[in-house]
Amino acid sequence: MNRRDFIRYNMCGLTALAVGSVGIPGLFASQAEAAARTINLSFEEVVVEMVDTTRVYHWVFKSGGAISHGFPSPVLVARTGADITINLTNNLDEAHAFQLAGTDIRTDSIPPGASTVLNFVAPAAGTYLYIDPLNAPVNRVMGLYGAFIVLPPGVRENTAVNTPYTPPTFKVQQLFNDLGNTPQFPGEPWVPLRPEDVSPNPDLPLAIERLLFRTRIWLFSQVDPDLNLQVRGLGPGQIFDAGAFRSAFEPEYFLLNGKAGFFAAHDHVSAVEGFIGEPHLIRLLNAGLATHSNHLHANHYYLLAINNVVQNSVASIDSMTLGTVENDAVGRGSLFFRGGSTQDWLIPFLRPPDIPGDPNTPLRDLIPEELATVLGNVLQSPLKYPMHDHMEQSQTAAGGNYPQGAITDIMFLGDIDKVPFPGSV
Amino acid sequence: MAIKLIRRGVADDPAEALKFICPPAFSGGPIDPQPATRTLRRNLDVMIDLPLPPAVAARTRALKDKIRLWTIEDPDLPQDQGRTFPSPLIRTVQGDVVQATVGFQLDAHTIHWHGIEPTPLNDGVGHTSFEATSSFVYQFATNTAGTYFYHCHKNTVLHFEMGLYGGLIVDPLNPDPDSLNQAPYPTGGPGFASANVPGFPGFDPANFVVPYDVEAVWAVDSFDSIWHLLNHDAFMQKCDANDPMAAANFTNDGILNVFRPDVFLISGVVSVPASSPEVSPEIGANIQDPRVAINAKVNQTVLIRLLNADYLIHENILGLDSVAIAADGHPFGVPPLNRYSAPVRIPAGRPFRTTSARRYDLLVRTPAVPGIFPFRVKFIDWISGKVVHIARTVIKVQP
Ligand SMILES: [Cu+2]
Ligand SMILES: [Cu+2]
Repeated sequence: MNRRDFIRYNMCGLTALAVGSVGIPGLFASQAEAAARTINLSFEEVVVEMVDTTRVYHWVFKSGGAISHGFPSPVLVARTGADITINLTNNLDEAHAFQLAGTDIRTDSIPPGASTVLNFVAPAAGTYLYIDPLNAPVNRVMGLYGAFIVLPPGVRENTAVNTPYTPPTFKVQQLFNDLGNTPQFPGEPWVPLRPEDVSPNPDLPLAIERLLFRTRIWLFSQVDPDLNLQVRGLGPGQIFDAGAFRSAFEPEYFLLNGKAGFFAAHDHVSAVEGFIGEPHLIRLLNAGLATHSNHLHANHYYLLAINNVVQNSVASIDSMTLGTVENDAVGRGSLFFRGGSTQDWLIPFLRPPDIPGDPNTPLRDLIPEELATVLGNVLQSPLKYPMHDHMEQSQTAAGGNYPQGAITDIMFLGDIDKVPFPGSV
Repeated sequence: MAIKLIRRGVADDPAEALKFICPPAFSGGPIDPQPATRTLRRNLDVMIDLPLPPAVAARTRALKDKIRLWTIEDPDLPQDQGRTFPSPLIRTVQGDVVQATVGFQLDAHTIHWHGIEPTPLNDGVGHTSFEATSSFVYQFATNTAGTYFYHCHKNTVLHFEMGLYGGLIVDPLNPDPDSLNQAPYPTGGPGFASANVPGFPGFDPANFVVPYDVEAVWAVDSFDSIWHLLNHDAFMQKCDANDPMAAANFTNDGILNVFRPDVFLISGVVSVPASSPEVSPEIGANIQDPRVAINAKVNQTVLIRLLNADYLIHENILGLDSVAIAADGHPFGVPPLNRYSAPVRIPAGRPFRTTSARRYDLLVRTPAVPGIFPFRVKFIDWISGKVVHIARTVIKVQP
């Protein structure tokens, strides 16, 4: 196993469950998994270790299937229009429920020890947060949240270029058409999923690996350990006053896919890695109560959708507001108003456009000194930059320890002709 | 049954972990030099004590009559112009190759040229490159005309808050090469901005530029006076090469997750509570300082470059119609890269929001009759959603 595979094997922070017929050969680990129309989820307690090893009590949705439970709760994946059944069992000692945030797809309150069945048709393609909506925001902020990804209909070969949406707007379609086909986007066209490109390593937890081909999910949350401790101390059936929780909420840990700082930056399911000219789709979700302002270095990105409203005007920006579920109730969001609790970006993966010099000279020839520089025993190759929240309070853990907060990496592995930079595997 | 424990991750690579926590020191540059078309200098950090008006000082948690700022100086200007807050504006021309010689007089710092996209060694992020202690020549191109800013990216949560930032404007060329007013344009106007605004007075569709008469840069910010008592490395993790991520290295008594600002500013001018007793003390009087208030004439074009240099949500309300022509330095609707977007008309009185680091360029056409038109910013807490202050200034339109 080489070093990169070792990292992958050890550090996966997300697991994924396909729901309904996803129908792309090779996307999921087994045909049995791909065919499953029903999944089982239960409400459970876990203890999550923060970046400084502080242990914090949480609640999660646990999969009853082959994938063991983790934190955050599993990514659920479906195709738009699929019939879906979720069996939910409440193994906690107060009432809980399930909802696709912002939709009327939800269960009634499930008493302690009880089960319920939720049938629904997967909504329009996009990025959804599933949550426990009860005693909002307490149950959600305690950890009962996850990403629900809805894929568009299958890849249509030799027809219009697929986008992540059904339907896209004119401008989003035009952008995806242009990737790899116009002078401004040299490199590859948009490839929604190409199974033959996916690592065949049988040791890897394959479902998430394949789901994340040229795609990343960035699920943000914040943790106030004192409040979680108080919730843990409540007796059966007792609930924490939601208003008191909101006004007392003073988060000390800021998570991206359940991890923070170094661990989030070095988690291959969060960090973006690609060659110049390999566009990536990023699906962002915020399960917490803090508003973020996420800044990407090295490339401006295109803001495709806010709360699954595909944008008519697709702006190229470097920082964007990611709002909260509470703000969604006030307005659906726009570039100029609330950023929504979910949004999608397209990173074009251009060669960082403000590197001086002949744009036709490969970077390996243009910046050889930089690519050979070793600083802090780390080679400055491949080219690594951060993505981080610019509300910099979220770059802390336990009130300091910058940058052990909501951060990850974007890495350029090599030139557009696929010649890797030194040190790229 | 024991509750399942989910671990924080595996610290499998001590060198990477140490660099993430304790960036290495480096100096020199430029690396892989190209012929520069523009050079400039900046020094970090110069301390400035900003006097607080008594009505503001009395309400600060630190109870000081002045607030300590760290700034980035331009050593090529006389001190009264070179040592300011915000730090002196940088103007470059679209297509420039810039070499910026940055000196570090006190402590280790970096400069990140926010929105400019160079190589990692020139991007000024400590943990993906280095922190400098003597001097370094950053090299970058400025290929897209618009509004950017520069700031220190070490212990950023504190260093950006302390004032280590300034504006960076990339000017497009004047389409008339014989004009006396060539880029970079004088700060305050007149000049040209990149835009795609058919029908707007003076718009040049062949070059995608629009002329403006008056320019304003509004950097909206707030300070938590308690944070301004801290030192450079406050609450940083200990550097331990043997086991960088060991629990014992973490500080556990930090306060930088809690931001409770008590001083509110636009472009370095403190918003003073309105003295009128019927006005809530959270509402500031109109800022009349000429660094902020806009003076224009009737039938002119004003370009407002609005930056959220804060850790709060800003809800902005302008008393005149405006057209947002760019966000984050990239002009809406200008091909090739931004052809998928369009300018946005914002009617007078309609609120629009920003969060940290976001920028809008707004074009305002002043009316044919004189008047005074308000601009308000509501400062909104990033968690509670509560409005903690309202700062105000004006656009004065004269005959
Ligand atoms: Cu600094
Ligand atoms: Cu920045």
